[in-house]
Amino acid sequence: MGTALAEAGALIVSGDRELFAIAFNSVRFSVLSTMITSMLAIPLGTVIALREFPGKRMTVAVFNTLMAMPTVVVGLLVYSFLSRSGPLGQWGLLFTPAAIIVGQAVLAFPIVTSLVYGGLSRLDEELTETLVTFGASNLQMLLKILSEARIAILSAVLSGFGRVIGEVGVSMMLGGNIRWYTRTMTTALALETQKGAFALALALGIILIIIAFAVNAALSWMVRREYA
Amino acid sequence: MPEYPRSTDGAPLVEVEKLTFAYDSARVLDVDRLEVHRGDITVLTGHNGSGKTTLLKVINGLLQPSGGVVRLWGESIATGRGRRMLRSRSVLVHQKPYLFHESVASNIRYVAKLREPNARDIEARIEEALAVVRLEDVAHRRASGLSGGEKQRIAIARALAVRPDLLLLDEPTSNIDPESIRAIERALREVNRAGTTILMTTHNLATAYRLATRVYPMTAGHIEHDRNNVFRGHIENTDEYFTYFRIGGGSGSAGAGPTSAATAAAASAAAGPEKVQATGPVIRVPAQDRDTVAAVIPMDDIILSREPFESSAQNHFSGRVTAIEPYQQGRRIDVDCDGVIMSALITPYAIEQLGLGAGSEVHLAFKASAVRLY
Amino acid sequence: MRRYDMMRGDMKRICTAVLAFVFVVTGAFASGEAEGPSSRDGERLRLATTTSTENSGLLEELLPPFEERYDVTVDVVSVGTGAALEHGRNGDVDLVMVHAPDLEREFVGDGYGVERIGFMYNDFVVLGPDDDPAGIAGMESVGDAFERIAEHESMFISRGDDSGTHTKEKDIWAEAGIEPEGSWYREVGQGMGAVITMADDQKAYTLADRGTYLAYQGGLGLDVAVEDDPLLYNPYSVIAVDPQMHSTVEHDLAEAFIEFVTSEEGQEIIGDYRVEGKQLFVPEA
Repeated sequence: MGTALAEAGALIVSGDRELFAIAFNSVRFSVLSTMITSMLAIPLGTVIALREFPGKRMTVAVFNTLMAMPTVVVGLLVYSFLSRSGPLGQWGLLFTPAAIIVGQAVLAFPIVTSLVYGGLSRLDEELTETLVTFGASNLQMLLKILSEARIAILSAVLSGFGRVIGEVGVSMMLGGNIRWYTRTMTTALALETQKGAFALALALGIILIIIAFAVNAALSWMVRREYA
Repeated sequence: MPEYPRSTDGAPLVEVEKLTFAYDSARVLDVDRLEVHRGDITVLTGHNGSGKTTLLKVINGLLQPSGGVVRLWGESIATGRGRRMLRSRSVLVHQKPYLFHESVASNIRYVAKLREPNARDIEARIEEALAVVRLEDVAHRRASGLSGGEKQRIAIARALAVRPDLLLLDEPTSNIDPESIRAIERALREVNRAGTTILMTTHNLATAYRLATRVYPMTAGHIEHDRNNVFRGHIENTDEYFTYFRIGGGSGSAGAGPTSAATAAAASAAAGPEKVQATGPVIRVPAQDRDTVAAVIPMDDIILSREPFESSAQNHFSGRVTAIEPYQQGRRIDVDCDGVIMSALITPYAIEQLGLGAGSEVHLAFKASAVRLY
Repeated sequence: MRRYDMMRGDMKRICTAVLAFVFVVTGAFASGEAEGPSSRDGERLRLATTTSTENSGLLEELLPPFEERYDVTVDVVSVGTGAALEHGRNGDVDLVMVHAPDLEREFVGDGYGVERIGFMYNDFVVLGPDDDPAGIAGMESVGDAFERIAEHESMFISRGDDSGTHTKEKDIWAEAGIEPEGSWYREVGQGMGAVITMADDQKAYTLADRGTYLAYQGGLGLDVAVEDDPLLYNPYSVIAVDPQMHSTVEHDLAEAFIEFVTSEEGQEIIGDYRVEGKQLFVPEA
């Protein structure tokens, strides 16, 4: 195993082309899926947090439950839609990057929604009242509330990103682990481990950890800067 | 800014009528009537849960009352016109104010632009508002890094930057450092003198009596009448046993409501120049060494007699009865002593026994220890 | 908690804007192409195969000449045997390359595949620890060897995942007339690589395809105990998905691919393919 570790280091240091192509693809898919899901989940989380409606508690509970949905279930669900035999089959998205992105977006959606809701509902009631007393319009209020919750929203988005960059079920099932096309760090990891190519697998694992660490470091830096 | 109808003299700026508020069917507010007049500093005192914060929030339209009406400048805030007036001319500062997660200057700039998007003097206003609360040097600091007292002062500065005609404050001096309390009291006095009417709550009696033109205690959602005489003045000297407090320079309200003689006297006294008049009577108080602007004497602690009398009480005065009014369960007797109205609460039976009526000559006494200096 | 009645009209406008943005981004993305040496502007052929086929590394030799000639990219989706055939049934791939004759016959029989074309084979081997506790090394009949493992209750690790290898293993137990059960028989439900690693670690017997075994051979304390029994024969075939079932499949390309792997050139590549100096597949078109 020691030699595998050394080889992994060598692969990273030497800038192995396939290794970095895979890492780049992974990041690209996850960034896009997180962006797409955020554009839907942030407004939804906001609506759930700021509006009163019947079934609100139920909705929150459902989203909390969906946060823990296994990736394979999401993969299967999206597969059944995107397969040629499924309702969206004519789009021909299965085994393309778009399928991974859709699947990851679905996977991250409840996470981002739930965390955005949580972040907004933890804001002090005084914030809304302060805005009301100074005569803010509804839109001004909404924008200020989002701005005050920016760290919570950002960490919700980064949590979503963390979940999708590290998941394997969706990418494998919907992307098919196609070399140079839909292979991601995690599907490659699964494949290389199975093949016994531990060096490449380790190198991928190291890159994944570095990315996860960078994301967390960035988040805590922002939180510190905000609340120092 | 559009011209709003100015209140005519004597017409209240804030008028609350038969106001009730219930949380989950539990009635937490039941106010028959409250008036705040232009130029007043009206203070609601009382313990936690007495309903003062709720009342303030209802007056600011943050809570919908279960019943009754709130009028500002004679217009109900339930109407569109009243609501617009409420949002453009008054502002509320919370007990635990929310400062936005940005710099102090940005906090102030944001609300100033909300109210007046086209104002050109915003930067000057920021400086001015910070100067009023004595925090000129924190403009570029992050609001979240300030101490509790500093936050409260910044919240007040932020409210002042929109130049409200009516400033509502919820417990502005609770749980903060003495320096901030002094700064806040000074700032509120300053803006009040410049024309801002203030309605605030506090459970800090010192703050209440140092600032207030009227004090209303609240209990269990009701507004009570204050049972204290409040006199503005200053300490003349202190010897081994006593501090000598000279009443003058305008007396505070006795909290007796707008129709009382005491208030009328207070109003005429307040109209004079701010320098202390050396002509008022002197009260003896147990020796103490504090910065003091008000003496508070409970109306219940004043004893009346038709004849001059001697007693262990250190303060004896005489004067003529100017009014006898029903006051809660008893009667309030206002006595003019050398131009200062002192009020005592006694029973109808005692009035009959003493044969008191308007114009009666009367002697009154109270212990030095009954007096609180603030 | 009280909230204010904010965002009625505002919210609607924002939602509309956001949705529009989502569609634009998704659209822009869907038209994008991945980078990589083999990504071409040409067509894509989708091939579903088993993980062990992909793991053997053969496709990396076999595909490039074909892709070059037809200016096509072959997207290899490697999954379990069952899933590979399921993708074919759903029309999500254009052809399948598997090694499970019974399942293949069913696939074609149900009308999803055009025809089974056998093009190569390799074989399974029984792996066991160096010290061979059941004493089966060198036995000619894999059925007898399994019988002896069961008698000795020597630990045996089974894929237990209904893969081609697992199906083969069950056939052998049936041949030996044994229903394996007990603490010595472990069904782990994992891939071939993981199972070989476990057998090595636990000093157990297992059935493996030769390709994966060769890929793992370095550093293993496992030896081939039994091989060359006709029962261990493992034929591979390619089957084009029937275009009458799924009109969207690239049937002409699939036919071209089948023609290529059964051609002299394709067969030569298969026969010449070596892992650690050893031949893995035998061409038999």
